[in-house]
Amino acid sequence: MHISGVRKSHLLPILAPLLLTLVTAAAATDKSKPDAQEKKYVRPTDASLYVGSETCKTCHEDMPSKGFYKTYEDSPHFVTTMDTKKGPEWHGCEACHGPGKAHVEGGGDKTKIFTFKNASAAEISARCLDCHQYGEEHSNFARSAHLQNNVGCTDCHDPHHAKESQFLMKEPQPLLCYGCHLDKKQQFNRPFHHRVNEGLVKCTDCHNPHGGFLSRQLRATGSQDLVCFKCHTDKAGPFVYEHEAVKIEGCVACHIPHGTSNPRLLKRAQVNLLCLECHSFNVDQGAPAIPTFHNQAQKYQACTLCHTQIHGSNASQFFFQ
Amino acid sequence: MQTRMRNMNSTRKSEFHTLMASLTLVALAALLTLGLPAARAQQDDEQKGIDEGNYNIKQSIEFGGRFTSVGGNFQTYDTFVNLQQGPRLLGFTMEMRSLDHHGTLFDSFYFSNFGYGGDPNMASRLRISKNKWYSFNALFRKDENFWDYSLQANPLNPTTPFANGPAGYAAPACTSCVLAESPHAFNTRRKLGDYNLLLLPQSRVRFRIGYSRNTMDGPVFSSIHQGTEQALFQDSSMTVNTYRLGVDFKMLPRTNISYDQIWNYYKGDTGTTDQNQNPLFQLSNGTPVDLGYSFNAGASQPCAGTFLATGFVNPTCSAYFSYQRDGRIRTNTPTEQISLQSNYWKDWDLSARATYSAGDMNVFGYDQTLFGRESRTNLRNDQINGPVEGRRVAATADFGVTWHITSKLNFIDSFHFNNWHDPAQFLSTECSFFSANLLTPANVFTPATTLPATCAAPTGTAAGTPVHTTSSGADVAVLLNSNFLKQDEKTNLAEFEYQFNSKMGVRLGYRFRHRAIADNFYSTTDEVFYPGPTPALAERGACALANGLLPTGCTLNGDGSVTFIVPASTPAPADVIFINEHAAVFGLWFRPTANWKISFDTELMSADNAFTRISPRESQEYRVRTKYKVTDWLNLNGSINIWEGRNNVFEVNNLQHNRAYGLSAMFQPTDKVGFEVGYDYNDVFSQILICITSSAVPAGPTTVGCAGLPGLLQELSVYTNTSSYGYFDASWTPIRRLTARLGANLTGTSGSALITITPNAPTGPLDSLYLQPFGGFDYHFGKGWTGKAYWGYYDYHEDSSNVPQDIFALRNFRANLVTLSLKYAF
Repeated sequence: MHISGVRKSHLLPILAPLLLTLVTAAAATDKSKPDAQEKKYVRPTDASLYVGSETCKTCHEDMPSKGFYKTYEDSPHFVTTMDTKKGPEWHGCEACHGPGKAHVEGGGDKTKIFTFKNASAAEISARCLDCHQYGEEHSNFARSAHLQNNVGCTDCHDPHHAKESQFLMKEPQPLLCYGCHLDKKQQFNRPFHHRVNEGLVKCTDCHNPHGGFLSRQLRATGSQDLVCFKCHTDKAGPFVYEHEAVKIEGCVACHIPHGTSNPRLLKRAQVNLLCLECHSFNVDQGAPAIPTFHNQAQKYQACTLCHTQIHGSNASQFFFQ
Repeated sequence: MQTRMRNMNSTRKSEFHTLMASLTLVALAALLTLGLPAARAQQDDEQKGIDEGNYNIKQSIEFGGRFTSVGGNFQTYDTFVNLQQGPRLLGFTMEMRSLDHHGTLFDSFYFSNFGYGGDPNMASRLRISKNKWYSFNALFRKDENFWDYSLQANPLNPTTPFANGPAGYAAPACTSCVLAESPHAFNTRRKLGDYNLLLLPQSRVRFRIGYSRNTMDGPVFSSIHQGTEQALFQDSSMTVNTYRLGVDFKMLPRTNISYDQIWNYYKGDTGTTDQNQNPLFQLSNGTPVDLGYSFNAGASQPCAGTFLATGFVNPTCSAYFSYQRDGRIRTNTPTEQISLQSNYWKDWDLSARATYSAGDMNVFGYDQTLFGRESRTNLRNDQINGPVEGRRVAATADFGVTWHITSKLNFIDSFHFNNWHDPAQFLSTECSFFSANLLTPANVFTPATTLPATCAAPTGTAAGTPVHTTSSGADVAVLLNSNFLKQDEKTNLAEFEYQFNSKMGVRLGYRFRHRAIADNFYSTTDEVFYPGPTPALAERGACALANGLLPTGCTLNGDGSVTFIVPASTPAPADVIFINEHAAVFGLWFRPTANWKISFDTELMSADNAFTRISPRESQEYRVRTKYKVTDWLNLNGSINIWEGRNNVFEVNNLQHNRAYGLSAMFQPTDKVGFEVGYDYNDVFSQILICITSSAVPAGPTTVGCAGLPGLLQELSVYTNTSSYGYFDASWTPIRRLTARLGANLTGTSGSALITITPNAPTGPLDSLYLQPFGGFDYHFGKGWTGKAYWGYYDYHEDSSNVPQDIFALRNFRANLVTLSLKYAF
């Protein structure tokens, strides 16, 4: 596929360090230690392999940090210790870290128990999803952009030291998301923006960080319409006279939803320059060109002064009312 | 008009001396407080709570006030920031946790609030749960949305004076022509509530009940085009109620099947009137009229000779006496959804979802009544009403599978199907009355022929012959307009994913997307054209003589009227557009060390068609992200995001890109000092051929016409927008009780656009600075007590391009905001 529009000068500074790091990483792979990758997490069911959380507490009450076990006791995960139906492989610390007997008998040998620190995102997530996979929220995480980029559950969640108690998040939104999505931080600090920094809207109101079936991990309304219409329902229609680009290409055909320096979150600073990009030439798609009396040096440059119902109208094919 | 939005906004800003007086009082209070015997201060992060009965209870409340001082454009400040002066409940949280995890009514209770008392954004969150029995989440948000950015929908009237105009409109300059506020302004309040209950969360069968309510109301200023652009006032009102019932079945091993029933009800009750009868604009009989927003004496807008020598409004101008539009929009959308998640089969993860939604839309009581004049058609009174109805039918199906081929190799496939269609129609009845000018009432014709609808004569009219023009519409019309729009979409993404080891992985895939877009139109027409002022003028519009003969469908009646009927007929075959997209996707991640992550992904897309001229037929996206914890006290983040697109076919020549480069560093050498700094550069570019007409670009030897569009010229519209964003955030705890913070968010934007076609247009946001420094401190002066003082500065500045009207419409502002508060936590 011919790559055009991107000057070669852009590719070189991007690819060269990546290739260099790739070679370095490949060379630096610890060949002495076999990668303990699991195809899928298979929970050992032999009850004799498990010691119970109270045993873990004897060492880990204040290790690796003061009050370590207490933070787990106060967290939602502690309820697993009260489960009476499932086996010990679903209870307490060992529900995540695996059987602890060998670890205890080994005097705390770290190699005898699963530690999250050096595991891959796929391995970590496989353990979490063994409980949390079911339900619309998490069912697509295995195919999500996050996991495919080695961002696993513990990159955002911290079962032991959560700063945000809901969902055990490492940081509250949007601070957590900005840690990787730097370009979005600059967008939300533009003059016109969705109120994410103000706390009114969260990233997860529009995006499902655990993945989904739509691009950009976007959510949808209950009727599977654009997520924008959850709040901006008056733009949803249906309308007798649709502004077809809204329904076919979506709100992002004209708007930059995170933030921009342009009013109304539009892609262009002047409305007419945006409208004219489609309404020029009579192309097959039927967006008509402007009539000859629409002198752009006069009032006609303010397209929406007349075409007010620009998202669709029930009464006017020209969106006048 | 200039005072309309200030009157709507009841909280106004104080002068800075009031701020200083307030600060003095607070300083005195702080000194007194410091003089009190103080217990040893607690750190915020060690809030232990109290144990009461079977619960550990933590609470905090932060109460204070905001003090503001704003200079410059208040409307822009309210649009961007809208933080006003006054007391505030800045935050309240309450958290209860059962000590033995066997609470009576609940095991966990969490309630948090912020922004109450006058902030534009306020929210409350409630979570209550009892292990194994239920989990309830509630979120309530309120948003005050003020908008008045003066360039929005602004006709950019020049200051050319009007002969005989009233003060402000006459020589030496029409200063009142310049609109310093947006014709489209609003001050709305949105309330969003989401309430969800999950019953038996750990059982094999779970039940879910959800309710959401979204309301929006408030005053809105808008406009309508009817000869000129009259000002409208809307009392907006919108309500959406959504109900959801769901059940999850985990009866099969490692499999969950869910069913959801969703009902969505939308009500739109916005009423519209014209309340802009400016007392400066009067007819000779003393009646005020609305001449609209557009004033350009050189272009005869709103009309030639707008003001007579007497100073009264020319009665042949387009104007409104009154206008009203109502209609109750009701949309009812039930949706059924079934979903499945399973890893029942070894090595296979499956998820699937199917939905069906069939909604009905109706507009009850639609009625539009205008009283005024449209000069081109001599329209004086007009009423349109009739039922509107429509449907939205949508079916979706999604399927995803992950096949764990080996411990390192996965195959992933995601399929998405979406088919929706929106048929909708408006059966309108229109009664129109015509007269020669604003001073003369309409004459009402008495027809002898059978009419498709009965029209009641408006008050003040008299029997006689209407005064039409050749451009006048029908006197009586019953029209059925029915439109249909549909999209059928199928997308499949197939990828292979290989994880070499815990340090590196790669994926390669292919995505195919097929869309079929169809629209169609169907209409019937039953119109009657009355004669007047001459009998021949009944033969106008669709019944204008062609080669001396009435067109097909037109019938000359005995009373001189002409009837035009377009009967029902089979619609023509729909226009269908097919778009096929092919995309290659590639991703690579590696982790050179335990503390360093790098990811790269790219998507290269090619399509055989595009729906709009700005939809790319080819696009490339490249994303690089890295996070590196260099040491315990230094973290580095970086990202590069490049998107390139083009639709450079004949007569389009569209090229676009959006490139963002960002870097940030966080220093935390000790737990007493932290510093974060970052920079992001964003570069947006677009070029495309457009067809325009502009007196600023007259046709000449160097201009190119648009093929097939006589009278329009071709221009290459180039748009650039580059933005630099820098920020820093430093915190310092010199002593245990005191934490100081200082930072800033700074955004500078520059760019260019094809504004030569609109010489009056300021560069506006394309040459702007938005600076937001802030600073403050927290002081723990007693057990659980923290005093806070924060200062925020907001500076928005657009560099004027010396365009005359921008002198009156500068959108710059500077604001100091001080927030003082006391927080008590236990």
